[in-house]
This record gives sequence, structure tokens and C-alpha cells, in this order.
Amino acid sequence: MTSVDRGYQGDGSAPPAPALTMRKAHQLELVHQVVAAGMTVAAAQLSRFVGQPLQIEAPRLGLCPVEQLVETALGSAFDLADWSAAEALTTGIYLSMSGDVTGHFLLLLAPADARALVAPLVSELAPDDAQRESLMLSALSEVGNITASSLLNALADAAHLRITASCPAIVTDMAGAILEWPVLDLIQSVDQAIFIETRIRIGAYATVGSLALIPRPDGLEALITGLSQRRAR
Amino acid sequence: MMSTIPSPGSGLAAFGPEDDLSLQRSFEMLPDSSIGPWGGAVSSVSPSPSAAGAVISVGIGQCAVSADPAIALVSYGLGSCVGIAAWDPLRRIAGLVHILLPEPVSSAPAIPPERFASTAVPSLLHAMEVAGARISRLRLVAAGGARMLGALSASNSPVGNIGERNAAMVCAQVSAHGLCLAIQDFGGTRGRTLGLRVGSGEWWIHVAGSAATTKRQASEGHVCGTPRRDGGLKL
Repeated sequence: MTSVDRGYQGDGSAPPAPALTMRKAHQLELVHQVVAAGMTVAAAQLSRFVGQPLQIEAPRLGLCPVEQLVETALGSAFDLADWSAAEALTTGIYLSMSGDVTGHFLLLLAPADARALVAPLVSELAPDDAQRESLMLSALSEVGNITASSLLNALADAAHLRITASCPAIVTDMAGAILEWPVLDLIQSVDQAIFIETRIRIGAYATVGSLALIPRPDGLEALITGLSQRRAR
Repeated sequence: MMSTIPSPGSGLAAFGPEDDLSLQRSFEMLPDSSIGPWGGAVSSVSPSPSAAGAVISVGIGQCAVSADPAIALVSYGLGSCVGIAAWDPLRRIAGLVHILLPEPVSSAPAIPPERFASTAVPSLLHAMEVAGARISRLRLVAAGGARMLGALSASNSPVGNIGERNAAMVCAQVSAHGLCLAIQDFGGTRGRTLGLRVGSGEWWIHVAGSAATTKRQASEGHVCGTPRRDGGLKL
């Protein structure tokens, strides 16, 4: 018998959703390029905000059954990470996208790295520990705002669409539990998830974070249409 | 890299051609080489269980059943998902299923059954039975069902209380089969990892951000626990 079950491919229960077929490979490539460019801009803005140099990897585009989003996004599915990566305590900065493109935006950092990232900003302002704690959360929210807005603005400009981001939610939990949120949202309507993810390395702390954009299927369609039209003009 | 075919000596429940194919679909195993032993990268995150051995990671919507005493079945990072582990102390067969949702919407078919609490529990019990376990002997442990991403999961949103609904459906299904959860660890706002060692029936629940790991033998009896009420994690 052949392998079946690290993912279920078809589901009669799901409302019809645009299938991500090979036919659309070049369209996905277009989205990938534009998101990659947007992520570079976002990383540059982030670097300016935290006042530290920053490296960004070439973003990778992933396509997987929704249920495998956790393992695929964390790299366990490719032996890039241990299976227990889903258990690692992680600080997630989450924003949901709305407007013409809906979906999820996530910045994942090790909790210590998240602190280190904003510590230089916070230590200037906060005299005591209690204040520092709440300032750190605001600073991380701002990190989310800056990164998401630069990326989404780049996307919106390129595709002539209106994309807005929610307020950031900061959560520290197991990586698997954080990534469950987009899974729960997507699985109601679609079998396959697409995500674009990159690793960033920040400053002398060698902070390594993961930046992921997970559009909903209608959002992806809007993006593809917008980008294709622009290219056609 | 993945196969559902139990390799010789793997100890995973073997299925004959006469077995229900749809059930086989839900079984899987990883080649031992792809599974890191405990004590590697994990140890910095959670206290590693004492005995070394291979781990089968049971992801969302998956079910695994094994009779290999050297193997541990683990669901990492359960948020609002629920992991349900079953162990037959006599035959030393263990199973673990990782559900995402309480039940399918409206009249939609529950495919795959392992995704939904309403169908995953019967599916797990059936799988255990097929592997040679007796349902009446099973010790069950369940964990998960947390309320995730606090602010975003308002209780009035359809997915906000999904953890609670998952936990309730698991409990209902377990009682419907005349069984009891020996240990249940539901609720709160933190992610959990649930693991079960096939050979010893030792299970553990690791809660995000806590240094301690709850560890117990599954054979310790049917004491129904109370839901955990823990606060959010500090950054």
C-alpha cells in the first residue's frame, strides 16, 4: 500500500475552493516573487526600527495539505527541524489580513530572541521591571505593525489591491499551538495551504526569526488576479 | 519518506489484506532514522523522558497505533487540538490520535475521521481493537483543548471556544463507549505535548512554559482529573 496519511487531499465536505493546480505554477511564482520583494522591504524596515543589521534568507514558497501546515512551516516535514519543533516555546506576533487579500501574517521568534530584539529600545525608556514588561509587548506589537505593513503595502502596491492588517496579537506558546490558528481557519474552507516563509537573522544576537504569510484561498486568487492584470498592462 | 507499511520488526500493528483499507489509511509510521531520539534538541525545551527510544510524531488529523515497546507516540504542541492516548496494559499496545475539530459542519462527511473528535475516538478504539487490544481494558489519557491566541479567540467567535468544544466532544465520545478518561488535562491558555510510551504505558503531559512535566503510568487507574486552570504565559 502506498503512503497516504500525512495529509488528506480531497474533502467532499469543503465548500468549493480554487484548486491549486500545476496550471497555476507560474502564477504562484509571480506571487512568490512579489512577496519575497515585500519581505525584503519589511526586513529593511524592521532593521531600521530595532537599529540592528539584519540578514534575510530567500523566502521559500510552501504548498501542503492544511493539516501538515505545522510540520511543513516549521521544517520538520523536510528534516530541517526535529519533529519536536512544534513543542518549542515560541513568541508569535500575529496579524490577520483583511481587505482584498485575507489571511494570516506571523512572525515567530524564540522568546529570548524576542526580548533581545526589542531590549535596546525598551531599556532606554523603562526604569522598572513592570514597565519594561509592558513596553516590551508594545515594542513587539510595533515590530509586527512595521513588518506587516511594509510587506502588505508592497503587495498592495504591486497588485493594486487594498490590504489591511489587524492589530498585532502577541502570544508566547508552543510553536505548534500558535500555528494551529491558521490551520483552524483554513481547514474550514480548503484542503491545501500555501505559505511563504523566510528566516531572518538580526544583529549581533544572531536572533533567528521566521516570517510567514499564509493567504486564504480567496486572498491568493485576488493576489494572482491583481498581479497578472498588472503584468498584462 | 513516510510509509504506512509496517516494516519487518517495526512492531507496528500489522494488517492483513482482509482489514478495512480505510482504517489502514490512518496508520502510519516513520522510518526510525527520521526520528530523533529524546535528549537531542528537545531536552532544552522539555525534560526528556528517561528511556531512550524512537518517537512517532502524531500530527493534526493523524492516528498511530503501535505495539513496539521501544516507541513513544507523541503529539507536540497541542493548542485547541486534543490528543487522546489509549493503552492496553495486557497486550501493551498503544494508540494516539490528534484531533482538530469537535465534529464536521452540518451534514458533511467526517473525512478523514481522525480530524474530528466525534469520529476520531471511535476510529482510535477500532484501530486499537484491530491491533489486538481490548477496548474494555484501555486506559485513556487526553490533553489539549486550550483557548488559544487570547484576544483573538473571543468566546462568541465560532472558533474561539473550539478547545472547549473539542474537550467536551472527546469526553462525550469516551463516555458513550463506556470508558473513562484516566487523566484529562483540558482548558487553560497554554499549549501542551502529550506522549505515551508503548512498552511501559508511561505517559507525559508537558505544558508550555512550565518546567515540570506530568508523568505517570497509564496503569495507575481511572481517576478522572479536573480541568487545569492556568493563566497566560509571560513573554
